[in-house]
Amino acid sequence: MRFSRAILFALAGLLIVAGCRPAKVQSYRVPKEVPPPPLSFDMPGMVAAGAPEQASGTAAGAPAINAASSGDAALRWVAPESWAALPPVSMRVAGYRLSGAGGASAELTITAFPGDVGGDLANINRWRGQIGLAPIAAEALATEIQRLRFGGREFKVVEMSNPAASPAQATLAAYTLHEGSTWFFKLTGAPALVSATKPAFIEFLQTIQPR
Amino acid sequence: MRDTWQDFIKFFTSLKLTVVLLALSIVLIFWATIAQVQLGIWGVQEQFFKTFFVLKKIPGTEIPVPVFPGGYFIGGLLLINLIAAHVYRFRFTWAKSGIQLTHAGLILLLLGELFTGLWQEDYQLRLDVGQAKNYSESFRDQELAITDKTDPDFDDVVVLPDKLLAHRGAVQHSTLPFRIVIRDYFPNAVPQSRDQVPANAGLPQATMGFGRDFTVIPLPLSYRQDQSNLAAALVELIGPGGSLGTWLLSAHPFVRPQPFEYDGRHFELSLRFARNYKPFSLTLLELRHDVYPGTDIPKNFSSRVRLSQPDAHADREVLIYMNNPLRYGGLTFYQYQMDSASGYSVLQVVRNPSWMLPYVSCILMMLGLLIQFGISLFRFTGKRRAAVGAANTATATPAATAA
Repeated sequence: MRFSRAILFALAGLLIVAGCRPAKVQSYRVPKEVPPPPLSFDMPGMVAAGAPEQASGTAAGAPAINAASSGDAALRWVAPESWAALPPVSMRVAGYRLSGAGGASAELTITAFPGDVGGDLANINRWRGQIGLAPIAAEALATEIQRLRFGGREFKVVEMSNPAASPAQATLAAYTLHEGSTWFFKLTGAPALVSATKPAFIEFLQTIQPR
Repeated sequence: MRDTWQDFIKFFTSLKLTVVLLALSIVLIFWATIAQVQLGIWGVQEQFFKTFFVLKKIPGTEIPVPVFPGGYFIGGLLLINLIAAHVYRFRFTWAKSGIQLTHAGLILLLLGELFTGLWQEDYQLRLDVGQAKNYSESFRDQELAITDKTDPDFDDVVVLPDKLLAHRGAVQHSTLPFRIVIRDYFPNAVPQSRDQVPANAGLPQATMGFGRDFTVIPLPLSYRQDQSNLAAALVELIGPGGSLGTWLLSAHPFVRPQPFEYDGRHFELSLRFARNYKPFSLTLLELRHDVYPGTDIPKNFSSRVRLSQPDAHADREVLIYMNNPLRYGGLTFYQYQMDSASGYSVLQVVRNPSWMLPYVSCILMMLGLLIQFGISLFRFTGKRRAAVGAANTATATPAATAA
């Protein structure tokens, strides 16, 4: 009888242990690692190992996070001549500054991240937060996203505006999936200029194609 | 006390409990199958099976409440139920030896699942052609690594698993001249250029390294099989003279280790997928993705690797392909993924000390069923033979009488 009790208690204990394994700090010594090769993920703007460090905070020669340029991007596009190209910074693949009447300005940034970067709702609410708008619920997504298809490529396009912000801000963004990455084309700036630029922005999207 | 113990035994040996648990498991499996559409296999395993309870948040809050027994709960009770019934109710008889052997197999199967959950290690090893590695990486778990790179021949590494980071707080390790304070932790977050977010967004800000120009935007956890959650952490290092600064770390593949110097030593900080080092290394020599001639239908995926372990005098080439894994050092290396265009291959690395148990339990159950059905068959044929013999005798007797 005592033996039977012991078996039952041992089993119960085993099951409890199954649910809790403590996390511990570990230390060990390993041979020096050969510096990693450039990431095979086709992220535009990456530079090969050994290239000079360009962005602060990254390891010398690291292939990531360095200044990007549109020259080696996996997608190419044709931007209107009136859009002034911005120098490459950090994770931005390319950027353009747009100027309008009365000193109004807007900035178009092109970035790419692996995966879907959290999905539609996370992306839209991130952009809404950036211009001071409250997040929307998942149910509102269907009305918020406009789907456009150019040359076999689907773009999701969203528009948002916050005239109450100081200064007033609007965002017109499009994003598409390419080779496992989500490419973002985001125009943010004065609402009137962003709104007036929409036809040119849609035309710009039509020029986007794989390199 | 004795009555309580008897009630306890009665409850755990009850057949009603078995039926209820089996019914609950049917509901759990059905629910999990439906939920798999949204959560994927990993999410369903974590939320439905590798848990004592299925938890759901109270709407509008972040408070989880148990709504249904989970796999560990049902499986655990079934195991106790089965063993308790054997210990207290069943008595060994040759006539029922088959049933008892089948039950023993079932107990072993349940135990095998428990041991697999406890001890199985599942990692991946990604190799570019020509690259050698002596470690594999977790599919999901991540870790904060502080690497002392001062010595030209080796690195001293201190790692804090993500479960520890999630608790935040401070860690002092004897090999480090500073204290590590986890200021913030995000199980899934995407790096974002600081100039893309409003200044008052309340997002983490660091004083050193990558975090001076970048922040991270927290994302909800993803349970999809084709997505990884990429953690981020805001870490402050504090030496005897005060703070050395705060660093923003991200497991995002574009964020490389962040170097700094302190006390004449060179360190690197990184948040990476948890590593499992091995006493041997594998070098990818060649990968092949063959298709049937004239089609795009895959015929073969294979990786030719060199296995090297100088202290064990092991240095040989191995071809790993579908259904032909490499077994070495208690680990099994399966061909998992491949991108021949980019020139890399991913091997799944599994350590499962209890991998034999399902085979043994299936053999036991098969033997048990054969014995049980065999006993029934022999008993049936014996009775039938006796009945036929009796009938023959009965028909022969009147004939003999008539004659």
